[in-house]
Amino acid sequence: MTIYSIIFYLLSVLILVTTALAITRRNMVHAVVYLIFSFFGSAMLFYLFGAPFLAVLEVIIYAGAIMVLFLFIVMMLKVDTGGERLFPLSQWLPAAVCGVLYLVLGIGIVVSDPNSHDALKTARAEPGAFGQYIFQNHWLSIEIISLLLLVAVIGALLLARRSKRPSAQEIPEGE
Amino acid sequence: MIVPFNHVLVLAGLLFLMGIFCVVVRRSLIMILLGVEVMLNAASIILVGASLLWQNLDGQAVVLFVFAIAAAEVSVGLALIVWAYRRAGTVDPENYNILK
Amino acid sequence: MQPIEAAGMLSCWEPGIFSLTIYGILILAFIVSQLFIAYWLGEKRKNPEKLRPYESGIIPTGTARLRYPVPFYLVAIFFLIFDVEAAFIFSWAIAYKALGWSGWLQISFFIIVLILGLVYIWNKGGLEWGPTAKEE
Repeated sequence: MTIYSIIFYLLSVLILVTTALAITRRNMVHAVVYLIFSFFGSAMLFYLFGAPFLAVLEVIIYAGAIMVLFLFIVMMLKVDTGGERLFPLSQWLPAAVCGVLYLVLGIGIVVSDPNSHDALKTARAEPGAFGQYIFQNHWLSIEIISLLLLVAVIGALLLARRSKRPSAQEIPEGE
Repeated sequence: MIVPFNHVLVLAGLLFLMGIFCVVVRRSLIMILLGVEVMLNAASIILVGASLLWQNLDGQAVVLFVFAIAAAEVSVGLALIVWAYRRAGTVDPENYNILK
Repeated sequence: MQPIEAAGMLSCWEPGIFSLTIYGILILAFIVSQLFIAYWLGEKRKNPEKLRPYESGIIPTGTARLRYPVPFYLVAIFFLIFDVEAAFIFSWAIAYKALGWSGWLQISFFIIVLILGLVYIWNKGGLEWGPTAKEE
C-alpha cells in the first residue's frame, strides 16, 4: 500500500460517489454540479496515471466547457422535473437485466484477463513528448477531427437558427 | 506501484454501468446525454490506465480524440434537444411519439 | 513515457509538496473558521421578509430561471468547439520545435479548417445578437 494506491482509492471513491449522486438527482442543476466534481476527480486520476496534459484538458474541456454548456441548457429550458418518477418500473426491469448481464460479463473479463493483475508502475508522459507523439503518429486523425468539428459547428448553427422563427410565435415568452 | 490494473478496470466498469443506468432509466433528454458523457469519461479513464500499463502513448492519444468527439457530440446533441424542445415543449422522450 | 522512481515522490515531507500541504491545510482551516464564525454570530431567526432576495427592496416576480435568447447558447456551443480546437493547438505548441515544418503544415491545415468554420458562422450571423440590419 503506497501513497499512490491510497490516492487512487480515495479518488475512485470520490468519482463513484459524485457520479452516483449526479445520476440520481431530480434537480438537473444539482446533477450537473455533482458531475463537475466527478470530472475533477477524473482529472486528478489522469494526473496520477501520468497524463498531466490530459488532466488539464479534462478540466478545461469537460468541467469547464461541456458542463457549463449543460448548465446553460438546463437553465434555458424551463423543465419541471418535480413530477418525474426517478425509477419507473417499466424501465427498471430492462435496465436491471442489462446491468446484471453487463456486470457478469465484465467480472468475467476482469478475472480471466491474464494482464489485469499486473501492477501499474508510476510513469509520466511529459506534455511536450505527448504533443510530439500525437503529431508524428496520429496527424491524420487530427485533420479528421478538425473536419468533424467543422461539421459540428455548422450543424449546431443550422439547428439553432432554424428553430428561431417558429419559437417566437409558438411559445409565449416569459412566464 | 499504484494498483493492479483490474482495480482500474473495476472503477471504469462501475462508472460505465452508472452511465448506462442513467441513459436507460432517466426520463429526460438532458440526463440521457449526461449519461453518455459519464460513459465516455469511463472509457477515457480505462484508456489512460491501459496506456500506463503498457507504457505506450497511443492510449492517451485516443483520449484526446475522445475529448474532441465528446465535444462535437454534446454541441450537436444539445442543439438538437433545444430544437426538439422548441417544437414539442418537453424533454421527456416518452412524449416524442408522433411521426411527422 | 518516462518511469518515475517512486521513492517518496509524493511524500508530504518532500520540500515542494510539504509547503503546498501546509498551505492547503491553512486555507482549509481559514475557510472553515470563516464559515463557522458567520454561522455562529449570524442572525438565525427566519421569516419570509428576511428570506426575500432583496430585503426591503423590490419584490421579485416570476421564477429565477430566465429564458435566455437563442444566440447566447449558440455562443456557448461555439465556445465549446473552439475550446477543443485550442486544445489541439496547445498540444502542437508545446512541441513545435521538435515537430518542425511538417508539424507546421499539419497545424496549418487544422487552423485553416477552423477559420473556415469561423467565417461560415460569421457570415451566417451566428455571432450576432440583438437587432441587426439583416434581420429587418
